[in-house]
Amino acid sequence: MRASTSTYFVNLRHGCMALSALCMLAMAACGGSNGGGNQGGGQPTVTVSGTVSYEFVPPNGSCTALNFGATVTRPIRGATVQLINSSTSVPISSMASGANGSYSFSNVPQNAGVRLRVRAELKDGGAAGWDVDVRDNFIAGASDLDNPAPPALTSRALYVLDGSSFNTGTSDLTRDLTAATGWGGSSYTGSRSAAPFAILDTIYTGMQFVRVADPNASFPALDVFWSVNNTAASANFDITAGEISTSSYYPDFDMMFLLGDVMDDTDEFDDNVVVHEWGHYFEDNLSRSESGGGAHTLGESLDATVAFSEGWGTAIAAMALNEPIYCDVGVVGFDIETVSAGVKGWYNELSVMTLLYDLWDTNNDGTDNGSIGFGPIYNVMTGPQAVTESIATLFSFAAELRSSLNAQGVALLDSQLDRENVVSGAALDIWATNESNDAGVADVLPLHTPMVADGSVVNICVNSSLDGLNRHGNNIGEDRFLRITVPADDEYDVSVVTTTPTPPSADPNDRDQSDPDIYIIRGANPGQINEGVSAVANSESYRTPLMFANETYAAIVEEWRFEDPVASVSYPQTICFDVSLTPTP
Amino acid sequence: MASMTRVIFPALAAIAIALAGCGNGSIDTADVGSSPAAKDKHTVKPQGPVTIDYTIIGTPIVGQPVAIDLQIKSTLGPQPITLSYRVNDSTAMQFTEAQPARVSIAASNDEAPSQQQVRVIPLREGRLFLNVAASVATEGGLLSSVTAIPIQVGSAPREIQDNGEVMRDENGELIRSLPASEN
Repeated sequence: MRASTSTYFVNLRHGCMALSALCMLAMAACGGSNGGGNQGGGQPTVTVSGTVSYEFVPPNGSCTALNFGATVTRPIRGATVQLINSSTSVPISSMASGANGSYSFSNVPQNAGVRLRVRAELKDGGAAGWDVDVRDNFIAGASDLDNPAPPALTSRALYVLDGSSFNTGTSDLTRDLTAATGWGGSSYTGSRSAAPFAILDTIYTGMQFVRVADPNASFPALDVFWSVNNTAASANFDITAGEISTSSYYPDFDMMFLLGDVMDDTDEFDDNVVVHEWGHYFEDNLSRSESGGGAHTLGESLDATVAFSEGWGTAIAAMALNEPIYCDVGVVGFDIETVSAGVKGWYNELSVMTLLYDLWDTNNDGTDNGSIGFGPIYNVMTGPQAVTESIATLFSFAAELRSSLNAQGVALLDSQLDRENVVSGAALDIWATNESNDAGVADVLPLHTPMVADGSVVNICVNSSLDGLNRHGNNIGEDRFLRITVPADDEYDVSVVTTTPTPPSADPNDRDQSDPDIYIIRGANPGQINEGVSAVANSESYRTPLMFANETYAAIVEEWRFEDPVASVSYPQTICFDVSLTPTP
Repeated sequence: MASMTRVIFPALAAIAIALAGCGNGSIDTADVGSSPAAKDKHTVKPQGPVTIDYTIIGTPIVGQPVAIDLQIKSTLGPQPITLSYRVNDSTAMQFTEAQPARVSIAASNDEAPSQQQVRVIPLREGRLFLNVAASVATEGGLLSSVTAIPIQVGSAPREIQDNGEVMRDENGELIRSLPASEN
C-alpha cells in the first residue's frame, strides 16, 4: 500500500505540471509573452523590468545566533515571476527570474493596473530539469488527525511574494521586489517574507553545483515545507500543526521539512542544513542509499549506511556552498576540515564528511594536498554507487572511486582513507572484506557476511550496546549485512529465526519478543528490494521473487525491537539469528 | 515525562495522513507501528556532539519552581562540558535565585551520562522554552550544541505565529501571500 501512496503523490505532481503547461498555453493564447514589440493591434505598450531579491542573514562568528547586522541582499534565481492584472488577478505574463534575479516583461499595455508576484518555485522554464516548491505545511487550528482530513501536503499553500499594484503608465519602468526578513531590531515584527525564498535559492545553489559537473542533470520533483510555526516535537508529530521531528527529508515522499519557530529553532538561513537535507534528496533520486536515517549525534559510531549518508549530506553542503563551516545556528557549529569527535572510521559521519570534502577542496592541509574535484565524486555517486552489488557505504563509494582515478587521485584517496582509519589501497573493496576497524564494538565485522543461497544456515548477531534505550536503531552493530551468492535462477525461501532466548517480562503487554526483519537488495536494480518485515515473533519468512545466478545480492538483517520505541526496557542488547535462503522446488 | 528520544514512525504516520488529504483516503499505515521498511524512514539534521536528554519533574505551574533533570552524554572524550542555560523570553520564565547560569561538569559517555538539574520559574502559561547549551573545548576549537527544552505550562495552547495571508490564486491554488519591499 505504501507504493500506492507514492504513486498517488507522483500522479498528483504530474497533474500539477500538466496544469501548469495548460496555463502557459492559455496565457500564450491570451497574448502573454516575454518578447519585445507592440501588441498585434498596435496598442502602445511598455516594458516592466527589474530584479527580485531576498534578504539573507548569515550567522555570527560563533554560530550561536543570526547576525542581522550583516544581512545581505541576494537575487532570487530561477523563480517564477508573474505580472498580474490587478483587477482580474489573472497573470498577464510569466517567466523565470534570471541568474541575477532579473525579469523583464515587454508588450505590457500602457496605463494598465498590474502587480508583480514571485512564486516560491523553481520550474526550469517548464522543462524537466527541476521542479521545486516551497509550501507551508501549517494550517491554523488543524491537525493531521482531523476528520475530514486536512488538504494533502502537496496542495498546501505555496509561498508567494506579492508586490503592490501600480499603473504601467506610458514609459518603460523598473520595479524591484525584495523579500525582507521581517526583523525589527530585536525580534521579528513583520512578515518573514525572505525565509521561503532563502530556502528556494539555497536549493537552487545545490542544483547549480551539480549542473557544473553534469549540465544535463535532471532533478525530480521536490516539495519543501517550512512554516514560522514549525517546531521540533519529541513525539506525537503533527505536520499540519507544525509539530515536526526536526529539519528532515522523507525519501519515500520526496519531501523536506524545515524548522521555523523562532522560539525554538529556525533553519531557513542555515544553508548548510538545507543542503545537507537536499543531499539526502540527491542520494534518494540521483544515487542510492539504504540508510534508515534517524537521530544521529556528531561523533557517534553509526551504521555504515547512516554514517555515509549523513557524512555525504554535510560534505555536499560544504562543497556546494564552498563553505567548510557547518553552522546550524544556535544548535551546533564546526569546521568540517578540523572537527573531530568519537572514534575515527567508516562508521563516523565526521570521518566521512571530512574525507569527501578533502577530496574536493583545494586547500592543502595535512595529508590533504590535492583535489579530484566534484566530477569524479558525482560520477561515482550517480553511477557505480547507485548500482553497487553491496550495501551502499563508504566502502562501495571509495572502491568505485579509486578504480576511476589516476595515480595522483588514488594516492590522495588512500591518504584520506588512512587518515580516517579506513582500509585503503588494493585491500579496499566494496564489501569491506579487509576492514579491521570495528570501533571496539562486537558484532560488526565482517561488514558483509558471506552466505550461499543453498539452504545452508548462517548465524549472525546484532547488538544495541551503543544505542540502548534511545531506540534509534542506527548505531554500529544494530544491522548486519549479508553478501549472498545465488547458485541458480530461482525463487528462494528466506528464513530468519531468532536463536537468542527472549524471556517474557512480567508485563503481558510488553514487547519483549524478537522481531527480526530482512531486506534483500538487488544491486543491479536497487529499486527491487524484497523484504520480510512482518511482526511475527522470533522469525521472519517469505519467498523472494526470481533471483538471478549471475548476480550477487546484499541483505540487511535487523532486530526491530532495537528501534521500537515501546520495546521492553529489559530487552537483550544482543540478539542472534539463523539466516538461510533455500531454493524452491 | 518529556524525552528527547526521537520517535520516527509517528512522523511517518503523520506524513501519510497528511498526504491522504483531498479525499484519497486509501493509504495503509498498518505497518507503521510494527516493522516498516527501511526505505520508509527519514533523515534528520545532525545533532551536536553533546546530547541532552531531559525529564521535567512534576507539572509546571505559573509562579512555582519547576525542576528539570538533565542527562548529558558526549562523544568528545574526556574533556569537561560547560552547560549554559538561557531563556529567550524573560517575560515567560526566569531562573530560581540559586540557579547558576553556567556550570562545568565532568565528561560522560553512553554508559554513564552526567546528571544535572536546572530549576526555573514559569511566569505565564503556554509552551515556554529553556535553552541548554553544552560546550566542549576540542583541538579544532570550541564545539557547542544547544537543546531547546519545551515546557508546557498550564493548558494554554501554543502561541501561533502569523506570516502573510492565505488565499487562492486565479487557478484556485492555495497560496500564502507575503508582502514585498519595493522600489
